[in-house]
Amino acid sequence: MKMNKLLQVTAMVFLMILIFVSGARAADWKPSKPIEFVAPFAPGGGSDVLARSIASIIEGEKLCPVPLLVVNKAGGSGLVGTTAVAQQKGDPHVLLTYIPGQAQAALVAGKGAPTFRDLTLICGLALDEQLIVVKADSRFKTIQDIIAEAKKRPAELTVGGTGAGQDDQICQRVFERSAGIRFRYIPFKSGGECITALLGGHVDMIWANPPEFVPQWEAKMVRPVAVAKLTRMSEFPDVPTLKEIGHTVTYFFYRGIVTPQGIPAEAAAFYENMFKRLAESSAWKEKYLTKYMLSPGWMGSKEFAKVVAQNEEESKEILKDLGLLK
Amino acid sequence: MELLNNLYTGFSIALTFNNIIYCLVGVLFGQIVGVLPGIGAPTAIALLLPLTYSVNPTSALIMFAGIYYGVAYGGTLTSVLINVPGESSTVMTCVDGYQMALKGRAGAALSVAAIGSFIAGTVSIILLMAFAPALAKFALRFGPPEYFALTAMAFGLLTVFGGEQPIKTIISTMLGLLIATIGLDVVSGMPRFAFGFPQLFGGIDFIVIICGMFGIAEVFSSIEEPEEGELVKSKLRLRDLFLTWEEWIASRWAIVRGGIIGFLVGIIPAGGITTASFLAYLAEKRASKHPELFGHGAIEGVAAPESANNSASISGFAPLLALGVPGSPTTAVMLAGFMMWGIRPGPMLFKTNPDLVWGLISSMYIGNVLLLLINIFLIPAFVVMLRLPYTIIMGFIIVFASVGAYSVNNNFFDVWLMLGFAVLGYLMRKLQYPIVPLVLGLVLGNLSENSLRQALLISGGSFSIFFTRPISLLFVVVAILAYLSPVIRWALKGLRQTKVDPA
Amino acid sequence: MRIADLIGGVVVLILGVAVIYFSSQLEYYSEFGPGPGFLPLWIGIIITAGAIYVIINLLTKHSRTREFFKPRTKLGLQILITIIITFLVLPLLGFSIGLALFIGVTMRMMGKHRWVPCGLTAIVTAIGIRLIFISWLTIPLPRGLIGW
Repeated sequence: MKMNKLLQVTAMVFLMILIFVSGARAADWKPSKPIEFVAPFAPGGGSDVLARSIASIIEGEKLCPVPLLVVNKAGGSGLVGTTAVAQQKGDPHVLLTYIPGQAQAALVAGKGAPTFRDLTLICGLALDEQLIVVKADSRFKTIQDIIAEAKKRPAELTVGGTGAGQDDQICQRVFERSAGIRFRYIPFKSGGECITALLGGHVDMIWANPPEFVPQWEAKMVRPVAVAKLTRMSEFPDVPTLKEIGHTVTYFFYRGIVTPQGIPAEAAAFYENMFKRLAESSAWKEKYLTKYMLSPGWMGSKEFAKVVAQNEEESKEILKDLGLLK
Repeated sequence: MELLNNLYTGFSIALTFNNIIYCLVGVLFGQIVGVLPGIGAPTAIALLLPLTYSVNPTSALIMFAGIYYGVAYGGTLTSVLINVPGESSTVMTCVDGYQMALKGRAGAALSVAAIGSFIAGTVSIILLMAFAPALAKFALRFGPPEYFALTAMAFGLLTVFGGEQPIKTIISTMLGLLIATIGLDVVSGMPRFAFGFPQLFGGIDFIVIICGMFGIAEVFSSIEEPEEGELVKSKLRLRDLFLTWEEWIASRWAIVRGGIIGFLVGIIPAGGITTASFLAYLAEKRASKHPELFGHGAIEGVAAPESANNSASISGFAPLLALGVPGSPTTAVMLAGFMMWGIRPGPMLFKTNPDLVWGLISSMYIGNVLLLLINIFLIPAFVVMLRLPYTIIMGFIIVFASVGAYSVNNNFFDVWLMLGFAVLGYLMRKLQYPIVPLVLGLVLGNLSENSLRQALLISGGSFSIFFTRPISLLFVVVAILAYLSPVIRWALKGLRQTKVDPA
Repeated sequence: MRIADLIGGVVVLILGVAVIYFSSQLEYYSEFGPGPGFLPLWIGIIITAGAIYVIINLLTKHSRTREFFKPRTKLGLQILITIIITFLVLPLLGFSIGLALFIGVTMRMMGKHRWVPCGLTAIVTAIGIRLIFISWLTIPLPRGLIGW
């Protein structure tokens, strides 16, 4: 039954292409069945929120003829889901959310782990931010206080983060090298555990993305002291960037979309075009970027590929420095 | 007075027609989702989240909460009837619940689970109402050292599984810990025991193992010893569907103890419902006058963990509502929901959105009443299922276990793993290696190891961190006593004998 | 039974030694506190010691004997093989049809039911899985070549 229908639809699409064959090649390919949209992290996490927001906005704006079905394949710092997608070579009906952590985890895990070379990079959609956050009643008023104390007591201040060998630990090492200090990095399993440890006073400060600490910030329980970005965030105009105090710690925490390798070039072009229209929509700004406090970060496939490769290269060097890579 | 006022606000919101319907839909959906092993509350809520964009957040939250605590009721059904736990929080129910079912007491097991959940849940709601902010603040004192000490204490309680061959209990626990280490290590980011299989980088999911070791392994054992299956059928009469007075007497304190343990474990952020049910079971066995009956159909062994998982699922709202921190995967999804609706949970919530907070909490009373009614009425219908020929029930077990294992990560690899664990579980049972310690090792392994290493990172390598903090010290002392208890008991016995002998 | 227990002990022993070997390749102690290899190494040591204890106990003491193989163990093995075959064909047939076939076949094979109830149960199972799991709960179960 279903197969027949599928054949019919394919045949019809094929016919239509034959009849209307014309310029715009990108429009040649269209998905013919629902798209499996893999979020390689647990429900509620940043990647899950991204995937579900995209699916619902695309549906609302009618950007895609077929629905996007979000599927969580969590575990192993995103490697489980990434592997599952990488293994579906040539299948143009699978999408995956991609963040630097997946690339870095693959580096550390080594043998068997899928890198970005095993995937087709479609586009970058947004940039997430890393901030250093302390408890509201912390003795550290500013980031300078922290640096001063860290100089007095090397490797004694504790910093909570999520995921060893990933974004925040890498960010921290760049900062440490620039400021000539050392912290003690305490890895936690999730952003929730991390902020809880901060609130309980078990760590001196944490790395966090805005959604992870904004509820507590609004309740004046925590406050951000620095952001690893080139310019200040509009949501936190009083929070200095690390660059302002003389440490060029900028981190490109991209959130992008990839597909398996070996899909038709027309399919890749179709998706790039679809996501471009998504990123330009006002719903995207309202329902995603503003709500979850991300910066716009549209990158086409070429630019995205460059950013991902560059990020991996930089990460590699720092991971070696951290002793996580040989 | 303020509490009554709040309660009034809450009920006036929860009792509107709309919200009662949302509550009902939530608990029904939770009940159904709970029956299926692979999908739990987080997945179900994530699935429904986009649909609630235009719904009033209070109503949506009432529905999600219904799913959350409804799941614990639903998971019990399959645990008792076919030994496949529908949720990880109902694993301990399998141990004695399924044994009760074999003895023809499935109805009693399900009743005590429903009643225990109801009582513990209701008390938990009252405590949540009265003390949520204070409790959540207290729970923050739990850091890595406390978590490690807590798990050390739980492993100490395992000595109750002495059995005939204590060494096999130890080996089994170690196997559980070993399986828990598979995958990427949280603290170092390194893969362990993955042997280049990327599917193993995430570790092996608890549900996959449980579906195999309990559900399918049980199939093999039952086929070998068919008389067990016959037993169920011959004894099934209508009056067997309900709790007897003796059973109620036996289980009432178990419900109280389980409820308290569940409540306390539920409020600490990384505590978790599954841990709560385990601790309740172990503590109950410890406290019992006849621990040897546990594992052979002791009703307290069902009452305690079932009460605990329900009260823990409710007290788990304290960190979310009062601090805005998610204490469990489910509350993490709800937190994402808050973001989507444009509401910020946390201490301000009680002031900025009192309707939402009190409406939600009041709806929990209603949800629990609904679940109690649903379950009491459905029990006969489900128990009758046991009258089906075993070949069909067996088929159901395979269906549920394989669909469950698959849906954990939508990965067929997990289905094969599950079968592997089924064979392992079957062989362990035959060779008299107990399975419960393995499961405990699995549940607590990661928490225990990670928190030990986090604690030592914080202290700079000094073990004094476990002895200088009051909560941690308390747990450590209890743990040490528990480890030494066989020795102490042995010494006491010796003393008594020497006293008796001369006389 | 003693032989089986002994074999079990030896398997556990091999496992323990393997765990010790593989965990010795991980870092045992890091800058502060235990490293990734700490717990696995101790697990390996305890498993090995436990296995040795079990083996010595079996060789020196006389435990009560129970048959490892029971009259119906063979039937259990048949079920295991049927499950393996089912899992092999599931990706091709899809979950609903594959598992329905499994139920039908085992009912016929083990329960000695007539063809009609077997067939009916199988059909109900297939429809049930399709409707409940795939359509309603939207679990992306493999649907096989037929796409159902």
